Amino acid sequence: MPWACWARYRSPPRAASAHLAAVSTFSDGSARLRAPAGLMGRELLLLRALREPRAMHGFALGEWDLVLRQARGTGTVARLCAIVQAAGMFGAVPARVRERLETEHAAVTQHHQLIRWEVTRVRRALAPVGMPLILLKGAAYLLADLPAARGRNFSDVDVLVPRDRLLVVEETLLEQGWEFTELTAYDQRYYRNWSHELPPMIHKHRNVILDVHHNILPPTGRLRPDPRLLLEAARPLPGLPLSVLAPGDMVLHSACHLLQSGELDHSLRDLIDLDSLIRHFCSEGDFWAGLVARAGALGVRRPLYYGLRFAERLLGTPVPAEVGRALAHAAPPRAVCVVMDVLFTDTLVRGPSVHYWWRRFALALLGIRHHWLRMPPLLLVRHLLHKALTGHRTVARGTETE
Amino acid sequence: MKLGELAPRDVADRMKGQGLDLDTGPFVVRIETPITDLVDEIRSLYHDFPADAGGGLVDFHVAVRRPAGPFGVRRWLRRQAIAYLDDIRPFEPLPIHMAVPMLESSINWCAANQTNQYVMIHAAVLERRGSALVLPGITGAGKSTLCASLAYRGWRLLSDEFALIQPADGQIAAWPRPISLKNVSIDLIRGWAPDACIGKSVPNTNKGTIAYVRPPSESVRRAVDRAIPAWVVFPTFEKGAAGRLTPLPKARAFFRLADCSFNYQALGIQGFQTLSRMISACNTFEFRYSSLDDALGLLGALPLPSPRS
Amino acid sequence: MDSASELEWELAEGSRLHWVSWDDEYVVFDEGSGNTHLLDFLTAEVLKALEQSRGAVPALIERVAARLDLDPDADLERRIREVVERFREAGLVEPTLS
Repeated sequence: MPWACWARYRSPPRAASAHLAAVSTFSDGSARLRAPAGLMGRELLLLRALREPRAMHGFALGEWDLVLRQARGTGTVARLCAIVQAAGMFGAVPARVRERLETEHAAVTQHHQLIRWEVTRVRRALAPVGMPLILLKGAAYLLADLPAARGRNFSDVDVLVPRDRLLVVEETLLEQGWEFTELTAYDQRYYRNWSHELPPMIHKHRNVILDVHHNILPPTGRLRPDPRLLLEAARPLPGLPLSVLAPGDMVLHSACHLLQSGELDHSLRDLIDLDSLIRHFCSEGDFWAGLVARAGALGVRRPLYYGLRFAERLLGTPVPAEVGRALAHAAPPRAVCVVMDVLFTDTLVRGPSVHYWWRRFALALLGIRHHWLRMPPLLLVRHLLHKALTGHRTVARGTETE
Repeated sequence: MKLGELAPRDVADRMKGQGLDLDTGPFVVRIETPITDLVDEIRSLYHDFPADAGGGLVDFHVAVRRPAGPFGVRRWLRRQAIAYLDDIRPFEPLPIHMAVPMLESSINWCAANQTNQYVMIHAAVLERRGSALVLPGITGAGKSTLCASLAYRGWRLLSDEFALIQPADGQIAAWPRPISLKNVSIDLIRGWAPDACIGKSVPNTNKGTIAYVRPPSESVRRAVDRAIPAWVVFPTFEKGAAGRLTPLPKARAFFRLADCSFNYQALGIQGFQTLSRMISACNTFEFRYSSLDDALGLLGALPLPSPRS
Repeated sequence: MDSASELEWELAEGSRLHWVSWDDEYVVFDEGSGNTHLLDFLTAEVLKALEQSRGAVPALIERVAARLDLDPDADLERRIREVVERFREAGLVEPTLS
């Protein structure tokens, strides 16, 4: 039995060929788009449902069961509900499934109210500082009323402030009842010296985490977008002293977040965000040309490449061929693409079709990669050792070498 | 077909393979386990519940396995069990003789974390002549013992752990699963209800010794019948105390009820409206008792709430 | 405290209150914050007054005293100030932004 487990871990290169056959702007363009298979060969039904809602018409109860389990494992039940509603398919869904989808959607929408409340409190608390407050990610989608917010389960409020106001923002928040979530001195140093955000904060009377960013990527990483460009292009929300990133910047932030954040367990939700944002904004003027140019200006072409590649192949996001061509030189070596495809796809879905240990292993590999992108190698080893010793997360055996 | 009517071999095979789907009332639970002792206990405790044909929609998926680790090493070290709820393992592995409490706790965990179609209160619920008695309580208030004693003396059991309140109409759905008993209560109920089928005692859990009582067949048969809440009674076991029902101001009862709820916060306005309607319609009490006979008498004599004008 | 330094209070921005009462006690659900509050008779009156319109504490005392037919004495003032401070802690009210 132990040998059987070992044998599975050695099969990645062969199974990965399944991904090469799926056509897209990012391959040779011959075959029809095929539903990507996970490493264990079984189709990720949830991805099919997200990509082609009408396929759900033909689902038997047993398939609905599988989809709901996968959705629950990835925190996307409410999102699935929103997609079913948007596709006008609610009548076609079995009653018990409908009930499950609706109640989850209602609970998530209820939670949105708490996010709005937190945003109002943060805005009022920081009013004396007198600077534009820019919302990021979920809070931005919600307050800007974007389709990406529908059925979206998010728990934190993320804001972007100019780096030179960081100290006064921190002091003001602390004065008004916010606290740092419990962190060791080591973690505090990590955030302040190496990260692009303050350590997470929380108001002592409430339950929503506030992340104050001064950039969208860490300053010690390999990619260093200039935050001033983001601040300059930010768009104010109607009627409120709040802003959100310009559409292209929102898309780029989402793509960067996809592979560079520490929350790899949420990849599917992040991918759905990216897909939703692109579909919403792509009809605006010269969105695509602007996006590629902007990615160049911010130095984030590689994350954009990955983001579009995964979004197109896994969720069918419409990416024009010329965009693929324009980004081709930003692509990593072919072998890396193949491995990333496998790793990313296989960590996307948590649930009965995905082999538990393989997924943990792949997550660990991506975790290593995530830290490598954020921190210089020497710091990385030290940081991972520290995490291992204090038991934050177990690193799978055999992956200590990068 | 009821679980008790299936061939034992059949049941064991299904649980070892793709899992056996149990219709427990409001939820279909799929149980997978290769552990033969556990299969036998489940067959006994869930004897009267319909086994689903399978292949349909399942609410909770619970697998109780032997822990295996990536290289299968741990399997040989200790005889342990661990519960998987799809990918989630809410508990650490436990000695294999604790498999039943682990299963029951896992199903409870699923309900507490994965359902929002009901307002869920941590409470025992029983019904008589169409009216439901809700006994909210933190563990240790004796509500399970009280619940078991009432269930075996004329009250219909809806649940010993979860009051499932429907937001639309305020009625309570029944989920008459096995009742958990601890320590001295086990022998107490054995004496109180000699006909009740009580499973194996499981010693050394973090709550002492636990055993489960099979729910009365009639309660299982009537699992589809909802009940209208009439009384909210907060019980406290107090050694030597004479049974006493004290009216509890409704606003305070509301708060204590909300405190015992798993999802009141998450449901927002719907939670508030459901609970306020319920409190308005019920009589609310605190209840001190030490003798089950006392309790039976006093609770059986509770006046119905006057209808709202 | 002189009137020049008195803060003006209002319901926290974004709040929306739902009331239910039994026997002179009140349960209030604030849809904005998701919080639920248990209030006695006097506390409820203060909150109702602020729900109607913003005001500084002296004005609040007058309005509540008039409604409940109470003497606006030092004791009432002390209690109302306490209540307002607890509302602030609970996120129910906040000082108006100038």
